[in-house]
Amino acid sequence: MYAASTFILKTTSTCNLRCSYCYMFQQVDRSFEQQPHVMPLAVVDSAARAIADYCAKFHQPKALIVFHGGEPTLAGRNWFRHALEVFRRLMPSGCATRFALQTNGVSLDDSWLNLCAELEISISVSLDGPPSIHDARRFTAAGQGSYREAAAAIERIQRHPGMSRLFGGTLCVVNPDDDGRSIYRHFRSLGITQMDFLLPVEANWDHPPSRFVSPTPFADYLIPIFDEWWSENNPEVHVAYFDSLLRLLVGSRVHSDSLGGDPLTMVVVDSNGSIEPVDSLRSCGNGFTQLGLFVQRDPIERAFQQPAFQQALAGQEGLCHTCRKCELRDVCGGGYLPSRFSTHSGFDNPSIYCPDLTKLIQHVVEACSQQVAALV
Amino acid sequence: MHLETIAAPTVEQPIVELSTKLQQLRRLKTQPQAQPSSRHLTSALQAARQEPAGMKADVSYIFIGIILPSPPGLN
Repeated sequence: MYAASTFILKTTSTCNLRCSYCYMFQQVDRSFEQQPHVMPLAVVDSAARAIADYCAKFHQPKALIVFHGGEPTLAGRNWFRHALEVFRRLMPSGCATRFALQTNGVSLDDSWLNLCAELEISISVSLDGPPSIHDARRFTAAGQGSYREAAAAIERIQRHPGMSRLFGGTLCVVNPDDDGRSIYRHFRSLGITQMDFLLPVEANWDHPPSRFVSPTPFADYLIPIFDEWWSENNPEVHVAYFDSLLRLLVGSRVHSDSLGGDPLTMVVVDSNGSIEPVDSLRSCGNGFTQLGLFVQRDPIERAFQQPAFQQALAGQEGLCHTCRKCELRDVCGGGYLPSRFSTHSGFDNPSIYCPDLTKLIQHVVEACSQQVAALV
Repeated sequence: MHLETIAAPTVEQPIVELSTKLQQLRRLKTQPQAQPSSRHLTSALQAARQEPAGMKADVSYIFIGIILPSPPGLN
């Protein structure tokens, strides 16, 4: 049985930003147009019941409930109070349940932080770099950049006595037009010690990122960040992607949907109650993630029988021939699932980022090997 | 053209040296006396060595933008 432990609630299907790369609102999938802007409380109740029933039935020792969007804070604080009350009441006592919120930070004032601290909800904030970079991609419908609000939210979190331990850090979407090292330095200048960098989910074999001169533009962005982080040698500074790479290289297994190749452990519940697989698969086609299953009437585990889930469940068994014989497959895991997609052959391909992943991993291996050489 | 052939040159070349380095890195897990000077690598090794055999590490998760704080004491 598929051991789902992460449940993404699409708290809202609306946003106060119009980020240029958003897979929810700016790409091929238009399913948000049919969804309620905010998940109705009755759907929250059904989702909590379905998730709790699943965790009890399959004796899940832990669960993570993620409030995602859209922009989840648009649901309002009372929505969150209701959701936390219902989940805490229904989740089985033997299942350690944590809560997390991914936000653009625009609405994140002290009253939100007080609430999240009280309810013990971890917060991660999207930040793409300094104002010139962030504002060019993360802006309102009127074209107003959102850096000032996002940076202020981060500073507020860092100063909040109850929130600093619940800060999950920042998330930056990689864009090879930028200088990765200067972005990393900017984050460090803001005192950020937990961060991650994500490869854009919109790129796949149907839509390759072909406008770059370098054959490995994403590795060329990430490697200087790795070098800076590596030479800083501060164990308090975490770049989640690099932490995971290192752990995989020394033989650890890491839960991740973009590295390692273990079967995915997540289920998405859309704002209308629709049970769906990895929601970034929306970038593969309009309605791609919709299974016709709903928490109001279907048990969570019914989704796992659906073909759309099977690829995510397959893990390394589902990798293409090229990946299966590659010696880096235990590390990259074939890359992020949406990045393998093509209309021609589904997910039976290497990642569109394969050259970048290979170059980056080889670089990390080389850095580590210099350490190993000194030990043996 | 089959899509696999597009990426194949990158990953199908024999990389004997890389293979050796990968094996050396994985062996570090079973060599508790090995203490690299990189504190990042040391953290990764500590996590791997604490991991029960056959179990997945309870470390940072990454998925569509969520980064969770690592459990206390891991790093």
